Amino acid sequence: MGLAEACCRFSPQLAVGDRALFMEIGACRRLYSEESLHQRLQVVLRRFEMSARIACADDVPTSLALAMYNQTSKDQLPIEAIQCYSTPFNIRSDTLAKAVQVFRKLGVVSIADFVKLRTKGLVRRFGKEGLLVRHYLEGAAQLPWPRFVPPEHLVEGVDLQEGAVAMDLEQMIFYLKAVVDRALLRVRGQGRLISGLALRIEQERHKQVGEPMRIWNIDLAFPQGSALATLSILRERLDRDLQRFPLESAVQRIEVEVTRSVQGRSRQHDLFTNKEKELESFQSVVSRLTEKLGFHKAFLAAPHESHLPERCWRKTLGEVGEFKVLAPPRPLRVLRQPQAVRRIDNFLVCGRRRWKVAAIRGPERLSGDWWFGDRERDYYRIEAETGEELWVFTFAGSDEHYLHGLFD
Amino acid sequence: MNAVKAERFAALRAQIHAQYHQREVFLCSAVTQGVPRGAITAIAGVGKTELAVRLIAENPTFRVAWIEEHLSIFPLALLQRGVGLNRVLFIDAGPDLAWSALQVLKAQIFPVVVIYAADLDLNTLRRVQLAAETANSACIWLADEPKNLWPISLQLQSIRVDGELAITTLKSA
Repeated sequence: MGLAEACCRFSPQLAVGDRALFMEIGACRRLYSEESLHQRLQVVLRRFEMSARIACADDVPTSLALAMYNQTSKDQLPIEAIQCYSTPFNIRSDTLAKAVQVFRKLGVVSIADFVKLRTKGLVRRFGKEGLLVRHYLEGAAQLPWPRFVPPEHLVEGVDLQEGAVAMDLEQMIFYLKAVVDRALLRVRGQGRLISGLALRIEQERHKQVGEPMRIWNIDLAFPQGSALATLSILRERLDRDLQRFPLESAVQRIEVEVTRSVQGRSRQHDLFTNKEKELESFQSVVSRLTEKLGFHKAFLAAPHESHLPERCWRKTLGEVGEFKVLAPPRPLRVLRQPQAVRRIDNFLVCGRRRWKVAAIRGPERLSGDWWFGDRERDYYRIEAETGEELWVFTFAGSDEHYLHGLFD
Repeated sequence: MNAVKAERFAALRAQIHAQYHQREVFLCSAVTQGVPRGAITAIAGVGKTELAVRLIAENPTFRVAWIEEHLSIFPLALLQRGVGLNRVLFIDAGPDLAWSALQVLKAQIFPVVVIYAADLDLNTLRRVQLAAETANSACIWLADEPKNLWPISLQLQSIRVDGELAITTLKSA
């Protein structure tokens, strides 16, 4: 099933048989050649640690027969191949076994000999199945494809058997790499990208092990299609957590479940510019940063329509459009919480800091959302003798001063 | 023997000097020699943020990472000074400031990395310097006080006189 999901990227028409995976690639000839598909399939098979024979033909049974009997042309196929023509999606060894024996006795040893037989005789001796095989062989009838439905939950895992030991992060990453690789192949096959995943690590159960199953739920800031980027995020997280809570015993199973995915395809790299590559790196580094620091700790800033400094921009990771600020120059530093300042003669005092006022400019009146109870503020630019410039406000009709920013 | 050694040292110094001067720089109207890429530039004093923003505004094609321990930069003020916000990644790093800086430099997609931290220890600074060199990024450290630490290539002190920035070069390696 996993292999079929990974192969969805090559063709949307797939069928899973009990011994084979079928892909309709007739309409994809302009996208790739048979040779390149062959090579790409070999790579996918290697990642799933599988081996298979690959054959291309004009119809489903012939492709199956060519792969099963390792031949390149229909005429070279032995008579046993008629079973492939009977029920290619679900081969039953007993269906035409007797017929094959009879054919062998009669000297019909290959498909080429079988095709030469008269149709009338076939029906009389082998019934409708014999006729059906003949029809499929001649291409007179088309087989209906069973619909392939990918499973709802995408889970990839590896069991660490005897001899395969994972006691620390490096050993675990070695096995995890293959698992993540397969999970991403499956997700990408469905034209999706990972935006959230759960990593489960099962340890050997014995008395000293308090928590044999360790689970990490990871949300990604940007959907990922690259195994390398996803693995580096997992590595960071595991490294951090395992330093605080190390593994208690040997790992038995590593499992990755894709909990959230979004529609999207990995971008194709441009030959002449590295724009796509740069974007991928940007998304990867932001994902790593947000994974460690917190979700809104690495962001782009988008302007928002509000007069109040604390509400006039928002954190985003999407596109930031053009915006023109018509307000007077704002300070480069704005405090998270305005700090109360005292005005003593010609001095402003804030905690242990003291500024001698050289000049005052303002006020600039800013009003917020009155329906939320925001009060109007009068902002002043206060120049200190040291050269520093402070952004101080008072509430309209009040004498209290608050330091809100610095022209640093 | 000593004369030979001295000659060799002189040659070596000349080589290092030549290498430094071959280094790419970001041009900035306020800094005559420009801000070197692949090195740390420390700016201290009143107006240090203004100077860093001016450098970013005058080099409008590059992506910037702006890292602070407790974020206090006001993005709209950057926009007012001609910096497009779609190219600045803000990072509120908290105690992981050094880690964040290294991650950003290792990504090698940020030609300018601004770090606002009161203090950075020598080890961190050395690691940041090496990462900046590999990434060929201009790493700008905004500090309250000037620090005489050897990984810093260019040390600038800014003051504001009559509303205008005055820059003094304290160290230029």
